[in-house]
Amino acid sequence: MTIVRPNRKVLTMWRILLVVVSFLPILAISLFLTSSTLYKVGVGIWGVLFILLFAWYLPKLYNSMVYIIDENNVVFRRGAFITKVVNMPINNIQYTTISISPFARIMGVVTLIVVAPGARLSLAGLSMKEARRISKDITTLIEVCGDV
Amino acid sequence: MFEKKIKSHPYVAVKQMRWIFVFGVIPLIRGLIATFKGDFSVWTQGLWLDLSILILITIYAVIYRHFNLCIYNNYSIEEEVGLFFHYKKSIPWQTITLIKLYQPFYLRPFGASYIRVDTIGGNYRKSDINICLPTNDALQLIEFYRKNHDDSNVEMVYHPKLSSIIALASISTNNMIGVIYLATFISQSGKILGNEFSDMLVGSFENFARTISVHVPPAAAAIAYFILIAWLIGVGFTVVRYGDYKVARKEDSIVVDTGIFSKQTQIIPQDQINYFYIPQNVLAYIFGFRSLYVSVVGVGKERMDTKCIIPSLRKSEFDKELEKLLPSYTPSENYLYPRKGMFRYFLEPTIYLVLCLTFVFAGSYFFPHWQDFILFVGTMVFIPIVGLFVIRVAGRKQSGVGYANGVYTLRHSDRFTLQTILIPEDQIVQITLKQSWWQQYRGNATLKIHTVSEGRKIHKAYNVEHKKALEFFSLTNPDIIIA
Repeated sequence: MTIVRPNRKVLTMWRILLVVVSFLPILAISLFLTSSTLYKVGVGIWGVLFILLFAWYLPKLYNSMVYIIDENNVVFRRGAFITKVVNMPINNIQYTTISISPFARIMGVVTLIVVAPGARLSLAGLSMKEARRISKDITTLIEVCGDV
Repeated sequence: MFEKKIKSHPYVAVKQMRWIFVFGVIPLIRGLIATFKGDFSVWTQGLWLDLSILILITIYAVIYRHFNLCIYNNYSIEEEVGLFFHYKKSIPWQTITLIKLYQPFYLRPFGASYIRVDTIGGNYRKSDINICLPTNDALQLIEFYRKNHDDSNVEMVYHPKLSSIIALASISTNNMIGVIYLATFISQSGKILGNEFSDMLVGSFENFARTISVHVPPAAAAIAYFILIAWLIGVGFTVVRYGDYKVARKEDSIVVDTGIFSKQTQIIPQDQINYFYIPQNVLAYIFGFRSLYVSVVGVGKERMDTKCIIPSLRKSEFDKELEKLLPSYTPSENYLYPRKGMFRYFLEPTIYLVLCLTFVFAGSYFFPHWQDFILFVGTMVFIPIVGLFVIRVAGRKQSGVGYANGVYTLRHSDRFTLQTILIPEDQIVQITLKQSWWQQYRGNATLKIHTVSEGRKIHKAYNVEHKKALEFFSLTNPDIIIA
């Protein structure tokens, strides 16, 4: 059985994306809320929301994520408030894809996508070495399942 | 462990140059602005920008091709693609439903071929791997797959006769190919060869239609002849596509080789075949022709894919060839029959007939000057309605479900086609028996068989006897359990 936790860099990625995306609500607030009271309320609400997301929700989400690969299944757990556990039987898996976006390349993490008929699982926050190893393990397990 | 890495063919770089048409709009706009201003010095001053764009696109195309790789080893085949968004897809050999080598005629002089690989997962519209490789490397890859995963001996080879291919082309050709081709030829001829040639072509066609139209309005005759010529062109394309056609059955797979100008080799693992089907349209039914097609994930995603295994043959010849090529897929006799109601089979064509007659009589009454044309259109619409009646009569006679040697045979009519479907039992994922209140009263049910597929694939038989269907498919009867 292999137990993998995503790289901490993926949390950094989410936080950077949150900061970038935050410019949009700030722009909306500054353009549309002109009276000083409404403006202060808008900024206050967004500020609180931002801090909650940045300091509490995203780390909680990151800590909940775990990937488990055993001889029968690939299991993915994640969820800050509502925990989701996804179980994909190895014998249903058709192929795997390692996906690298430009931003992820800078951060040094990749996403391993596991594809079955009618389903796909994205295992984000892996290093290239880890992703290749897991992909190879899954391929070997598929072969073993097929022989059985 | 053996592993081979192949770089894609330089044609991949040429394809990426299409971005020139996207970014080339910048120099175009600058040229237009300079033209309107009447001052070309502005355009020439900025020429460096246009050249930079071209050079950047060329560099991008070359680097893109450098990172487009195919890697294969004893366990899997992999594709690496993309420059900014990079993907590395790894497909175990065991999960492959189709592996195909395709050499388009326009790439054969440059030694390029496409390798396509598909599985039951992934996008149902696109292949999982589709990569352009040097032909020698592509052939080596296919050879490697055959040696390691498909090394059983060839048990049977089938070469159809040319007459069979022509019959298939004539009966099943999609007119659209011919219509598009002919319309493009006529409309573009003016641009290429001058308007005089185009006028001559159109004028000649018009004169020809007038000469040959007998007791029919020339405009209507022109349309009919246009479609006829388009159909003949479509037949020609199909004959060329199925030229040099060969099907080989091995213990583990079926290999289809076809094509004269564009060659293709399809290897289909036998355990991945979803089902075979024998469609008969009106013409095929009347003349007694049958063709065998295969349904497997991956085949049919591209227009040039070959789904046909046995081209058109008369029944006795067809049965003989099917028995030789695929002995386990011989259609069985019906055991489960639909209840023979008239309503379900003949209501739809009757409605169309009534509408057609109403159109003809009402049109002739209200628009007497258009009577000839209305009669012509009415006659043309009447012909497919007759075809629909023929199919429905045949469907009513033949419909049913049978079983033999691990294969279910399902016969039914679907619009203008009679279908005989041969489904291996291990490809059935779900059986549904649906009953309306009327069917419950009569003891009937609608049978739906779901087969393995990338999307949803359901085969239906209407109005079968409910109890018999439960027994036939060895299904659990909840009514008994609850009682």
